Amino acid sequence: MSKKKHRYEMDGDVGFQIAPMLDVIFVIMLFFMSLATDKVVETQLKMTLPSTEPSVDSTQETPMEETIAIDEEGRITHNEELVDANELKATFKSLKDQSTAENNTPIIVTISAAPDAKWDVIASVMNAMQAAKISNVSFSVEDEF
Amino acid sequence: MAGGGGSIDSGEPEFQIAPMVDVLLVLLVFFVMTTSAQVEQMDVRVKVPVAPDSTERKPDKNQTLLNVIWNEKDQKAILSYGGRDYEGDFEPLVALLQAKAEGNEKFEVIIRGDKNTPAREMAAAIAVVSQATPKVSFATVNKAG
Repeated sequence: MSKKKHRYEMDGDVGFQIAPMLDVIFVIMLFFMSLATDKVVETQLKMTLPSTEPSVDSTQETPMEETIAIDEEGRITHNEELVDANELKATFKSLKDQSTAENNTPIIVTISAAPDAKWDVIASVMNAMQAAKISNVSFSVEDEF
Repeated sequence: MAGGGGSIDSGEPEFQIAPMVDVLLVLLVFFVMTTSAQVEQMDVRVKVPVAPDSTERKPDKNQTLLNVIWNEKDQKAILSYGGRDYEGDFEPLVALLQAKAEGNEKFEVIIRGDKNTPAREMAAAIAVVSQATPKVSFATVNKAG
């Protein structure tokens, strides 16, 4: 890497060598840079829960409501049809487009899960919501599945 | 901090290692300080789910972390907040969150739920948070690691 010539003292006392130090620093830097690009980062799904306080705005439009059901095996159903994560994303996106066309009518998604449904699956539904920029969510845990 | 100097007599400026060490130490202290503030609230017992469409999490003093640890052996969930574990009786935790939320409209809770936690336990955690604030985020990772 560095080809700079170094000065050595004639009495045999070797001075501080900056070139090898820089070489090592560059190698370490490259190592950390390559690590950083492939890093698993903790992120967030930003949601809004239904407020416990009564709404003061009486002119607010009736929200569009969608219910997504998750059974204990992790199967996701929408309108009694099995859906996967990609289909769910498309559904939420079309819902969002519809909401935008109708003067930004609020959308509320209710996730109705079996008591033993894994959080992993529920998070995948919220991931689809996040992709469509829908944030209003409510949860219900149902025994009947 | 580190002391050192160059040759005054020769007139030729030499590389000063001491200020370089000073700068490196300051950078090290800076990174240690910024990361430790976040790390102390995260619980290593929690493996959060993957959500590729989730958003990046930036440090925000209005946010606080609530960990939901799933104990597979006992089939029980433990809520961990501020280094203290809560099990069964969540009233003290609700009171704590309500006190933090009081007078701060931007207050937000990030729920770090383990991916294997059943819906019933997560619903209980969400119910605890919803008594303090409707603003909630769910911690995820951007990809499987």
